[in-house]
Amino acid sequence: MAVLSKGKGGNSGSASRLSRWLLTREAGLVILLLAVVILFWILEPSTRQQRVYWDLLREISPNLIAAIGVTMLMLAGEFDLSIGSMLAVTGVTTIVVFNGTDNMWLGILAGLATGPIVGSIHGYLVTRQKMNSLVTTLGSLFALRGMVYVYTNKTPIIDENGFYDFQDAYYNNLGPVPLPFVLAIILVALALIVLTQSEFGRNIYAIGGNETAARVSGIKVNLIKFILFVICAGSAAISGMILTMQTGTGYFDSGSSGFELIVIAGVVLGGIALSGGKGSLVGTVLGVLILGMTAKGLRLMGVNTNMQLMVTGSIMILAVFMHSFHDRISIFRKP
Amino acid sequence: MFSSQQPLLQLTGIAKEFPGTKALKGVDFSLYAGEVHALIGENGAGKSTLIKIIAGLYQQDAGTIAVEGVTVDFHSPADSLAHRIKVVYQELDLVPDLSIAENVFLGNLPKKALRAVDWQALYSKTSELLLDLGLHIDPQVPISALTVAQQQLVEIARALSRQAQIIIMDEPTSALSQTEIESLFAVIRRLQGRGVGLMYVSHKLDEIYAIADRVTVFRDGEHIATEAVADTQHSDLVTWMVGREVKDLYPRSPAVRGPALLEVDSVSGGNIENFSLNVHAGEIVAVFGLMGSGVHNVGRLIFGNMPRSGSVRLGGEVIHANAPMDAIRKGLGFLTENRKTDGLLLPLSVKDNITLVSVNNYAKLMVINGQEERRATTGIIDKLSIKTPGIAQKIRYLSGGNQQKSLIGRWLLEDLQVLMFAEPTRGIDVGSKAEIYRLMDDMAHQGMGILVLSTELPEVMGIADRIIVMRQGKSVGRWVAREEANEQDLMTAATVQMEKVI
Amino acid sequence: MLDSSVEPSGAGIGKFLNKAAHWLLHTQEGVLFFIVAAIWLFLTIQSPVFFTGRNIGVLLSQVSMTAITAVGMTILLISGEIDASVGSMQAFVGVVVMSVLNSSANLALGILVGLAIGVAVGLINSLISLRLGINSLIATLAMLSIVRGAAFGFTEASIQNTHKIPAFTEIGNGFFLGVPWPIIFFFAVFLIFYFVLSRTTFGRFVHAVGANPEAATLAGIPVRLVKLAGFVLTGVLASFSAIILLSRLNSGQNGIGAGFELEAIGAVLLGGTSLSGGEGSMVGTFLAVLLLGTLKNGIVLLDINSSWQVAVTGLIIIIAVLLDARRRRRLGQD
Repeated sequence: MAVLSKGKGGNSGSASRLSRWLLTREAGLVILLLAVVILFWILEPSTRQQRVYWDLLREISPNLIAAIGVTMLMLAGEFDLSIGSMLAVTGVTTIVVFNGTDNMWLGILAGLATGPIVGSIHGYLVTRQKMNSLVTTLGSLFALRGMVYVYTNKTPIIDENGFYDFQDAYYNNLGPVPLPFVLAIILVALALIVLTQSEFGRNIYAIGGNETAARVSGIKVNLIKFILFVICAGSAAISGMILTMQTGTGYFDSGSSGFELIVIAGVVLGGIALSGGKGSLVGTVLGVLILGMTAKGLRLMGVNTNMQLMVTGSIMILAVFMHSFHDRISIFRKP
Repeated sequence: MFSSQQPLLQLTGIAKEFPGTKALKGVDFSLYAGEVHALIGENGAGKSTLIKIIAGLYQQDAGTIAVEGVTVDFHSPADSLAHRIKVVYQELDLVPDLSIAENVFLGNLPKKALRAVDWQALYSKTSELLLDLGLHIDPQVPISALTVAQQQLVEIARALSRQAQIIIMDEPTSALSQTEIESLFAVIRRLQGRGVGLMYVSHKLDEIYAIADRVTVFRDGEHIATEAVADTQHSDLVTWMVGREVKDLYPRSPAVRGPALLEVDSVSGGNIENFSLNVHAGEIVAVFGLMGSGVHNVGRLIFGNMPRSGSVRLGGEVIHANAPMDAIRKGLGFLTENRKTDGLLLPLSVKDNITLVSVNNYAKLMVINGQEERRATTGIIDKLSIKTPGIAQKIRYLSGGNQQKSLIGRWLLEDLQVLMFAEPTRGIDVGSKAEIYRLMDDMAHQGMGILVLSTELPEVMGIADRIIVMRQGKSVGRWVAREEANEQDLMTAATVQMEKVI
Repeated sequence: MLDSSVEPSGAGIGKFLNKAAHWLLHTQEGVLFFIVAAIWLFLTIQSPVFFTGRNIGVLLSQVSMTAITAVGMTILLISGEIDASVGSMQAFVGVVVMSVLNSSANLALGILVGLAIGVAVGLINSLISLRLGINSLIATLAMLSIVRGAAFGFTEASIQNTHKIPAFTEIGNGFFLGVPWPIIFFFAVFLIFYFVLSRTTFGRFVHAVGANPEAATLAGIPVRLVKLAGFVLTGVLASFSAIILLSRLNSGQNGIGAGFELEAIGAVLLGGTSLSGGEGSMVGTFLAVLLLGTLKNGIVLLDINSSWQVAVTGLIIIIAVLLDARRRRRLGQD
């Protein structure tokens, strides 16, 4: 029981700061990302073109945006499994309103509004009715998908107007940077500022770390959780919008092949604890990029889509093991 | 002595009912500025319910709360905090991964423009508060790096950060060492001097004499008495709490000392170095040490729940390291100091909890004979007078004392040679305490050896035949109880050269 | 606070009625039973076909695969762990067993290989979760991907039945004394593990390690071994489901079983088993599986757009969890 009188190490030279950074989760993820990039650089010549990486950033943007909401929700110790079905709900709603009103902006508005609506329902059921969020959103994963099936009768809905501005938004660039990625980065930056610099953000960590403590400290736990469910479904709706731009159709099976699992995998790989309260959004971004790069590289190598799953799964185990190992060694770093 | 003033907090006729129980049946409580008012009572007396009502976590069914003469309605903790009321809970309500500063100002972070957190102000304000409490720690350190005593002070700093005028402390000393308790009392006296009103909830009567001005006793949800501490006798308090007289808390009568059963020879592991002891049949041996001395780890090492070197033998047979299973099979039992985390299976029934270790005895080819198991369980419930509506009752709904008795019952169903108790009576009421000590005495008389690992001096003095004092992982003295041991010597042995903790 | 699980007192038939009423009103099983009974009654009135031996046989055969896997999953969840890889197991076991049968024409060997895969995957799951200390949800989600990849690695296309072993077709489609074999397997597995969970020391240990692993260790229970047994059991029962499915489909398909894990886990949770371990109900799982199967069956019988199946499954999960949450709050168990 030493007296903890000293502040952080007095000699914060750049060398020691670097070595301290190397012990963080983020550093491990950066190294892992570089390793994946280098590996494909060696194995697959086509990954040596710059274009591949710009494409990757474009394709990964929907996952990245959905991951923001999932991260914030998981930090508070709650889950949303329904984000895959949300993609279809948003897409179908958008195109249906396009066709019904011939108004692009109205369609976009309606499509995006599905997020907060579904999120509010989740928020109500979890915070007011005290339902377990994992099971509740597992239910809405089926319920939403089923309603889309019933409504579309399992046929894709085509944009009859052919709003090219809408579709172009997916393929256009800002300088060399794909537009969807610009949006993703802006949203990530916003969320990062909220999480690290605002009281709302710090309260999310407090709720995930010890909900009772947060409650007795007067933090409005239910309100914050409600908002987070809205944010999560909302960010899924934005992803759904981007995917709809990509194809210009409202596809009933959009996100049905495990979108929620891939996003959660990225988030967990990024170091967000399943129990909440621990992790950073930067980790999430790196986690999603690692999974995206791996999938892209394998695809370019001509590996069967489903075989790619094997590699993705293995990377996940490796990364999570790395995190738990990191937790163990960091015990020795405690003051 | 305060009657001329307006009370800070006045509770009148507070009642609260839960499905199946009346937790509070119309109780009164008042608190004046600059006063320490102790609230005592056995488990189930309604103390925690009252605290939760004051904190805004529960709403009362009847009765009024007045703060400085104004009747208030608390719908949430935020309402209570707004009236500058702060509860320092027994189970610490801190967020382990956040910094000290963020914990101190939890729910109340200082902000600058655009509602951004003002980190500079946060850290400097926290440093000030910590210094005020005599704690020299970097406010950016995460809570998980602190000792329990330091965490307790962070909780108090949290109360100060809100300029609390009413502070409620729920069993604040249950995890503190003697030195730590004394510095906590110094802090309480300072707060008292500033006109803060303190409600002090505790089981420990000695502390009430040391710190409180007035004392209120609750029993079974009812208000029994409120008196100035100076005017009450120790025995009055016990009688009010229990509802009858507890004549002898420590019923120890020496038994016939048999052969050595447990032989521990220079065991090391964790922070323990070269520890040896013997426990004979019919004997109660106590190892006493302060928090952090490693006294509880002695049990873990012997039991094989923590890696060790050195030898442990039970009735002559070697007990292997790292295998509690082996220790149990050879006749050693262990109750840890932490009921919730190491002992209870909260979602399971009283029966399943009691027969956890012995269930194999009622099974053939893994199939349990339900009748035999129920009979064994009922036997234990009767023998230890465990209060439960039935054997299928979930153990989570029993009181602390009855939970502890169930855990002891778990070991009584095994054919044990030696039973080790770490903190046998932590957090349980006086009535159950006496019963548990009597039980230990009985076991010794039946030829078992008992090893008690405790941080509570009165308990060690009252129950043990021999006492070993530990300091910083080493044994520093051995006494034959009753003849040569006195509190002064034991305490000195346990504390001398001990680094100042806070 | 009094607990609901304490039986009200009474005597004879009164006591029984009390108990029954208590079960119906105060347990998740009771709520489910009530819902199932109501839907059965409704369907019997609405459709002359519903309450016929033939239809009930179809209904129960269809749910048998989810049910058998859910039985293992119930035990695993009570022990405090989970296995999300069972969906991909349906595909991997299917393609491997079919190709073994094709090349060996030996039914016993094929089944043995299938069950061995279950054991192997269960062991790998427990190795990653228990040895490397990775949360089992994450570990088995990764295994879900890996096993799916393995199925595609094993074959690019589906594997047809070229062995024509009659007994193999019987597994999923045959009858024994007029009862379809899948139903017999389903009931047998359910009864055996209902007994194991409630009446054996293993069942008790499963509850104990899920409720409090530290306390279980200190009580001399081999915690890791019990959890490992849970993983292996779930793997084997998932393989068993896969073999029945294989027989019914008559071809090994590498894409089959997507979402199967959600259905199985969903049923277990719907049945009232807690995600946090230590608490659960085999009867609840049984009723939940029955409920989901009945809905699918009813939608077909009433000639409703089959897309409703998915939507109604989801809504029922939400409603059941809602009822459970309300019941818990009423009893003050929060």
